[in-house]
Amino acid sequence: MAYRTAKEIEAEMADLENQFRPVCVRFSLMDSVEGRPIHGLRIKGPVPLDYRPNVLITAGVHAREWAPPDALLSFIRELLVAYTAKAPIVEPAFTYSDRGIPGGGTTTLNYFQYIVKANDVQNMVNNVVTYAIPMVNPDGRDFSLGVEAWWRKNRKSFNHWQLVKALGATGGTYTLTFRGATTTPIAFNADATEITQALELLTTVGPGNVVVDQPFPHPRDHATLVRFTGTVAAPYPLMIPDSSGLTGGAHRTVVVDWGDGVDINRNYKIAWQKEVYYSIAGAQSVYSSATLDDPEAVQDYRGPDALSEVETVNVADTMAIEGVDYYLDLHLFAGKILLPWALEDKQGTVSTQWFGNQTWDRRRAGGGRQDPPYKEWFPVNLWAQHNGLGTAMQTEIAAAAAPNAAESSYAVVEAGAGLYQCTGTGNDYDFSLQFLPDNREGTEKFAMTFEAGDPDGFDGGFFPHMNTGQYEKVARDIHGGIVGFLLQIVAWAAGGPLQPPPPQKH
Amino acid sequence: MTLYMLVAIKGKRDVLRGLRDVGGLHLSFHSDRDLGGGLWSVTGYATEEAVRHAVRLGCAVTVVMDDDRVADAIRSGSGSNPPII
Repeated sequence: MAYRTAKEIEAEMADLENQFRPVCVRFSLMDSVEGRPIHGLRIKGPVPLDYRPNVLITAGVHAREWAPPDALLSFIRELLVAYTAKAPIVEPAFTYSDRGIPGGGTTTLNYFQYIVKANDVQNMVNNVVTYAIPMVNPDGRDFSLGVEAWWRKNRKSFNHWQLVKALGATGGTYTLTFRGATTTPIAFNADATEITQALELLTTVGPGNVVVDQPFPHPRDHATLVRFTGTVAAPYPLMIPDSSGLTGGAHRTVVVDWGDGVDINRNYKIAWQKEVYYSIAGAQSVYSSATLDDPEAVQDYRGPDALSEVETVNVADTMAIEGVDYYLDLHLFAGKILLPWALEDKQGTVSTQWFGNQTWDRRRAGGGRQDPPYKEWFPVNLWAQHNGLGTAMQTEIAAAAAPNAAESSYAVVEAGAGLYQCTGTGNDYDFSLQFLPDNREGTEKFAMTFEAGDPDGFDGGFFPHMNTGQYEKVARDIHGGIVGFLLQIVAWAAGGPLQPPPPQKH
Repeated sequence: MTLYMLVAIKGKRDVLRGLRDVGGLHLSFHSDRDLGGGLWSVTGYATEEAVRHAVRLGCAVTVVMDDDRVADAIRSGSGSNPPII
């Protein structure tokens, strides 16, 4: 078993629609930067109700966080199968054979079945409308699965770097063809100077019109970045490799668009202009010093403008068009349920200290460190409700992890209370909409980020192992978290005993 | 494939913040924990060179998963065309 590619995720969504329409239907979103289709699923039971809260669950925002899209899809399938059969969800028992332990080594954990009662299944489908976008960033997903596992962002290309790699070669040469002109043979382990010389000799390139870099940490990988410049006119087609002169095992030369990428989860319109929301020094403290806006250097590059990326707009539009009341964004791996705000510490007493108050612009230092102090407004009752929702998730995750609840102990915390505050997140964006003057609906909004997986990496970090129980454990945590999230919303919507009110006017 | 270890990095707040965009280091930003006394920890993937860099800055680095196990997990998860970098 392997993690699904973007195409396989699309196929699974189509299959879910085919099997469970009209309870489950796909909705179309804009294609990705590289042209991959993106869809969401709407899950809504046929029972007529006066009030039904709208829920949005997203996954696959960050390409390298492999487990959440698969886990979200498997939960949706289980939910729909059980709903249709009027049966409980019964997830099988499993063994987790390589759970990491402090000090090194591994241990084995055995998990019980996880059962979600049939009545709860019916309520999750009938009493809320769930919109799910299991793969927000399909280009990044496929790049992470096939080119660079650690890739985080989308695949927007600003500087048009092309990655060249003589894969598996131990000797020989390859050639590169650019716009019909072919280089002389290039040694499999050529350095940047040699590759530059070969390309500059091409009539379609010429001297000074190519930049070659080999920034990768292990020279034996023979991976090279190439970018055309100067009098070579854009757009730049990918070079065509010929591997016939290479020797070694299963050798081949690959050329792919390296891209620069935008972090979708820094691209939302909430304090996106971090040098305005914070002081310059504050922004450089919260982020890093010299690379505030360098798409090549920064893993969480915010993009050229707020909402500049189609992947970001897809989520933001779903929030707006569907009137999302509750938002849950699935990520790896921090072992936390994160509540707003990510951009600053929170406070519940001074309503004038909010992101839209321009008198604080260029003065906030991050972490409440400026004088006089500034912290972001978060109404006390709303915080209590968020905390209650997070606690419900926490409790259900522990139940789902039986008898190993201690290995699935999730803290409910403010996203920005730790080491790395950040602006432009989807969670903060959705939450922020209720404070804007043009919040025409006047409704409260709830936003959470679920960072599944052990924060020390004992559950496999970004890449939970598919064949040892690591993935099953992380997926079980995600399923428990979603169930806790949805059932708490169901309870609130029904006016049950745990009720803070459903979304109301401020 | 480039070799990365999964590591826990312990150090002072501002030093760990400065690691954010170091080459060969991919942090799980929200894995941070306040250890008290001005010390924090954060988890991420690092090359040997990035580990040396963090150590030079005064951080303590613990290997959670060695590069073989990380590579095995990536191979198992990525299917027929494992990542090339």
